[in-house]
Amino acid sequence: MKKRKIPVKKKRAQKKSEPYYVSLQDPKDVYKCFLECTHGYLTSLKQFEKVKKLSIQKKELSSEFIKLVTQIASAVNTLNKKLPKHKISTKKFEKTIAQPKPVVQKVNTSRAMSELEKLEHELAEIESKLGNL
Amino acid sequence: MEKMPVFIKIDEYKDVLTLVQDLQSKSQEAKALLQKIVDLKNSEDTELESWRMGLEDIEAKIQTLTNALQDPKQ
Repeated sequence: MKKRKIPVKKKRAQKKSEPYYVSLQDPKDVYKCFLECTHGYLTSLKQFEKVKKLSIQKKELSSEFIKLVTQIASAVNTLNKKLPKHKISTKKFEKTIAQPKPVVQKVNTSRAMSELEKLEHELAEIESKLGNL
Repeated sequence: MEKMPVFIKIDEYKDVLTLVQDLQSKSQEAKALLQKIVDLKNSEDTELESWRMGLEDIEAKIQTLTNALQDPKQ
């Protein structure tokens, strides 16, 4: 049988990686600390799962809430249509209504209204109406 | 502005009443839902806070470990 020669480099590496012993002042404490760290990390992971679950629940409830608010808004719109319309013929009302008009026209010509812009526009209209009452 | 009486047709009036009741129940539902969301947010905040404290604790322990390993008894 042929004897395999260990390469010189490997021999050197073996020499370099000689075990090195370190005495610890309180090994029991170190081990306890290590175990506590591991325990802490595992608890963190467990907490992460909890937070993830809560976050998912919150998202679901939020989308449900948005749906409900949209339903309320459409119901208010329907109610507005059902109620009789009467003109408010005060000068103050006409003046304040005339002011936001140019802004709306600008938005319409430049680009399509986003959902937020639509809501802002509706809010501005209602606020001006409320201001005139 | 003068206060003027407004007259509504009876059939429309019934619809309006139903709509108002519907609105009332929906807004109550929304209120309850919002409360649930607030509760969830609060418990999420509590969890995050305890998470932060746990990580601080781990950090301190790692420091102790590092000290013990870096300054061994000669």
